[in-house]
Amino acid sequence: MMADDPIPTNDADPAGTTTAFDVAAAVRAGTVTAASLVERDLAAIAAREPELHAFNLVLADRARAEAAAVDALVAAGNDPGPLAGVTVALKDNMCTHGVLTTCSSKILEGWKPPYDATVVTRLRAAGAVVIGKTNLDEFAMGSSTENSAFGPTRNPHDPSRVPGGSSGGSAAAVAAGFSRVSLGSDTGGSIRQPAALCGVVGVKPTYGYVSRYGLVAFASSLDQIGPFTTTVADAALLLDVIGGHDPMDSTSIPQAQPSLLRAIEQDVEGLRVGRITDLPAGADDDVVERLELAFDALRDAGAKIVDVRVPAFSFGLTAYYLIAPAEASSNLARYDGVRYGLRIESPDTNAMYSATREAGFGEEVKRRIMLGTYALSAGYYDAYYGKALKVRRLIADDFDRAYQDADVLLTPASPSVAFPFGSKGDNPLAMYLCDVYTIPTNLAGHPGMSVPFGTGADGLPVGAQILAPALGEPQMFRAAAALERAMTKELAR
Amino acid sequence: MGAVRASSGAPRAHLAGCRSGWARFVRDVAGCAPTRGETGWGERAGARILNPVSDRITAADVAKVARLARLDLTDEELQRTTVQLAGMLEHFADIDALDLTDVAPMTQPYPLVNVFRPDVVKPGLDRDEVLAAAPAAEDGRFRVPPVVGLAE
Repeated sequence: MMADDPIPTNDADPAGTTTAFDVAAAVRAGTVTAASLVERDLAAIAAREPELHAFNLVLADRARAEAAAVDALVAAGNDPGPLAGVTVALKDNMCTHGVLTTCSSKILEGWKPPYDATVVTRLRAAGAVVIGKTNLDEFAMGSSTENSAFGPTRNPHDPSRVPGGSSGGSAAAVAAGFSRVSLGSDTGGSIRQPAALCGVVGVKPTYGYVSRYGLVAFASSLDQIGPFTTTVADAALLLDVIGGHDPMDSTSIPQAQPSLLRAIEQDVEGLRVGRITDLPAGADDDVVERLELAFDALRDAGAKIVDVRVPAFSFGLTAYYLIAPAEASSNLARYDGVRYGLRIESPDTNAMYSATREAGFGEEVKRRIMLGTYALSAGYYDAYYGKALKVRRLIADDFDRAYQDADVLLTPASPSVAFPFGSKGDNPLAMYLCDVYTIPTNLAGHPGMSVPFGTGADGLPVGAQILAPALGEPQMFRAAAALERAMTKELAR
Repeated sequence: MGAVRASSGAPRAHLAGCRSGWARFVRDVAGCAPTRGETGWGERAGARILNPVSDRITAADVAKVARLARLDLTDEELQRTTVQLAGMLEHFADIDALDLTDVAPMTQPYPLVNVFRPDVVKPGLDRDEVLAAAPAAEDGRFRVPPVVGLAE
């Protein structure tokens, strides 16, 4: 794959170098400088960022310095690593040492973490260049990036529409060419849904695949970091770098993971692709149409389509909206005006906590803290939180049964293409439905990814979601690569 | 494992008959009726209707929860939150139909046991740097207002 890709031969024309794969190859070979590629991306940011607002913070000077350091390594005959000169945008809920980390919340405004998240350390060690911190729904709670305290991000394909969320800034940054790749976090679909709406690849790995150390916690049993990229190979490259055990995260899976770059060299001949016959309805016709074509494409590539049932799938929303807010209400208790960010001065600590939290949190965050606190409170724990945990078990068990007959499952990533701003109105439940196809995966702890698969209404991107059992990343990526090849063929026709 | 296997032969409760849950929401509010397949939102094969409760939440409940959550909600926020939480809990009633008696709760996805590490002294975070990020610090410590309430 690498050998077949064209590599530009001089700095005057880095335009052909768009994937992380090509960038790293060219920078390592010394045919293009990381410095020139950073300037190319900064120029793209200067041109469209005022309109799109993908970033909370652009790190132009730091990125230039990091790129110069990469070029210096190459000039000295050293290898900067597999992501040499690759620009990466980080969702602004990942800690960056000495660099503002806000979670798009007023309560963390001005906070500079005293350490780097493990993913940031690993990216830099591989030669990547951090170009900025991206916008999100406050504390990653939302599906449109409309809930940011710093204003919404716009979809690069149609700025009158949302980019999805909560990792909307990271998805938009890659779709707009602001960075080669980006990282997001996915608690209930926050990588896959914006990837679908912005027409890029987005991966939510198996729970424990990527270290959560330095990821600001939303719902700790569901949160997972993953990449946004323009190609499946780039996603594999990135996960091979950021994945793997980390002693700083006690939920990090201790065994080594096989290379996903190697995995996608294999085709899908004989792979069993499951169709969930009792999948919750509600997807728009244009999305369903594209999904049927995705089944056809995988069948044509040699995969076997099988019918499976996941009866508990449809209870995912209820279980999720009890479990995630419950965990969030506990995790967000730390924002009390003592250690970070905002404080509203008050005569005693209790008054300070309540006043600070009231002023610092946005509406959706407060709503989830309230819902979670209620679900955990005396007298209601068994009826809500306790019951949701049992439903979570049913969902995981139903998936386990389905994966006896199928190696991967194929579903829509989002019920619709990107929707206009404000179209979900005042009813929070309308927004929650955006994640109906992504949420059960998080509850089970399984991996899932969205791959761009053509366009639907108004020429807007549609994402096909591939699901796999725990640590089923290799077969998930094989199916994704097959869909990508089919799309390349379709576009060439 | 309870509900699914134990009652797999039981008749199916179809969604259209459900009085609450996400299914009705999809139909009435989101405007997209279930269209595909033999099943729809909120339906579950073999689900046995046990106790379809409609727990309501009062403004007094919400005020108590706000105190527990340390949120100084305004009256307007309290009213709105009461309406919204009541609406959500209504939709969450879809799981009331499930017999979960013998199902073990699942608190996290990965079957972890205790994780140990060698008891070795390592440098921690830089104290001055951590304190510099706090709203107020003094003598190497976080500074807070009186813990014993003056307001009470």
